[in-house]
Amino acid sequence: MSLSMKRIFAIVRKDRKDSMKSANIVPVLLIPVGMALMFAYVMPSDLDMMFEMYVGVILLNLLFISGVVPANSLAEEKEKGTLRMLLYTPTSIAELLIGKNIHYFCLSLIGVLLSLLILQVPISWGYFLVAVIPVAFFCIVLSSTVGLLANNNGQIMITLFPVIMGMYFISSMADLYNVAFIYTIKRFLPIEIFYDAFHVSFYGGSFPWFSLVVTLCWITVISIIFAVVYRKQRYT
Amino acid sequence: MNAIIEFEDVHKQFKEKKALTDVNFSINKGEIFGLVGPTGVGKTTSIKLLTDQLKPSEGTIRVFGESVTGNHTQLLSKMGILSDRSVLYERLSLYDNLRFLASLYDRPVSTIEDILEHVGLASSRKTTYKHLSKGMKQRANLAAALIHAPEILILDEPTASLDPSAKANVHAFLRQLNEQGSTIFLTSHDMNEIESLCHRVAFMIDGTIYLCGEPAQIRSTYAAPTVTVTFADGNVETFNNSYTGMTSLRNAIESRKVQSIHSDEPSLTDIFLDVTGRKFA
Repeated sequence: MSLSMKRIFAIVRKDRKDSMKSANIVPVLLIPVGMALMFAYVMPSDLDMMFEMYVGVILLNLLFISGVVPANSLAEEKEKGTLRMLLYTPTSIAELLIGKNIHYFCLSLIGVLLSLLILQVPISWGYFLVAVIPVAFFCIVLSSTVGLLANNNGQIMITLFPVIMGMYFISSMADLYNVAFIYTIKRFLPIEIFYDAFHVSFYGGSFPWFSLVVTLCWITVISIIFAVVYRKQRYT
Repeated sequence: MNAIIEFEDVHKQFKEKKALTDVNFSINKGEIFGLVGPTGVGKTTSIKLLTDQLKPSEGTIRVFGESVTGNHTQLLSKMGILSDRSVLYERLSLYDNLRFLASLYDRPVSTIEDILEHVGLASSRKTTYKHLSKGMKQRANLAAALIHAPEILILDEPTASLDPSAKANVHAFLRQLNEQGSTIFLTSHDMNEIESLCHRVAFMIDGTIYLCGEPAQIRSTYAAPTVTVTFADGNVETFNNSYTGMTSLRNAIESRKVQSIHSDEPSLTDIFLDVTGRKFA
């Protein structure tokens, strides 16, 4: 299988134009940035509170853009019939997915950077990369897998959205309830590296190796599932 | 003749259901070939097999002498494909849609203007796809199928959802393309469309080709051996094409004023019904 970079970047450019005009995608992009703007004005004085609030908003931004939008976009291509049209061109599903994922990966980074800028969160670039890139990668692969399986946006909202929001709430609320089993689940979530990297950057401490390994394991698992789904779905 | 598309003993089975059984036909360079049959008999499956979206259970499909299986990218760059379900990105302008497709085929942007002129949509280049009328959308889809100047144009029920005037426009455009050298493979359940456009047709029922040939040749094969004459006085008489019948016809023409003479050729629809014993849906 040979991949054409020209076709991949044509898909990136098309998705950039198309997603900026989509009533499904634009709100998903704007809501977290809007929340960041809102929180920037309601700045808590307590450092712990500030940490929870800021990191929560930025994580929500990342999860929405990299976790929901790629699946949404792929399902829309199926629903509207443009996927069929693309498959009548020399474009392969692999090129389509890579093009889409590059676009949404960049959009995720822009969204997170924008939130960081609005909230003026102090974080080193090293920890920023450790926090954002593995989580964005995991979410995009998860989202693409669900996008390949789903036929419309309704199915995405029923299946993927609860998973993404479930991870978000467990991760951001576990400390509030202080229940052992929720705390254990939180430690093994693929997005925990995000909290841990920000935590170390805020308060200091040792590098969050455990969370990083957990996330890398999750990335391996979801990549295998994606490969199986891709092989099964490309002739469907 | 130079066959550029060949179906050889093609079978396709979906679990329990046989979609195609022993399909054999070829399409020559520069001709318009029509695959005709009611909805759901295997026409679209044939196109999916031809475009490597499905794999045949048995048999071989060749385009330009090469098997389509595994040659997806190379072959699709030589084919333009249009169906009544074809769509472009509705939020993008017609120009942006075509520019995107041109870049997928690595074609220069300058070809877009030519194509838009060709399909009569130059003035609508900035209109978003969703704001085009149904006929304009189908012409835009045709422009999209032609953006890479394909050697073969594959049309799956291209005018199924169009009104008669839009349909006539598309037909005229297809004839023009064919005159310029394009080979066209057309599937349709509209017998008039097939009859007016195609150089050769194949009748398909339940995944099997029943009859294949030139429309005129098929009609003459199935023509009744009679000639019907309408006289100026309103009388209508039928003459057999035997020696005595033709002598009577000559005498009648010499002695009475004739309004019209018709050979009793059946339409393709009549022949289809006769050969397959099926109704059109």
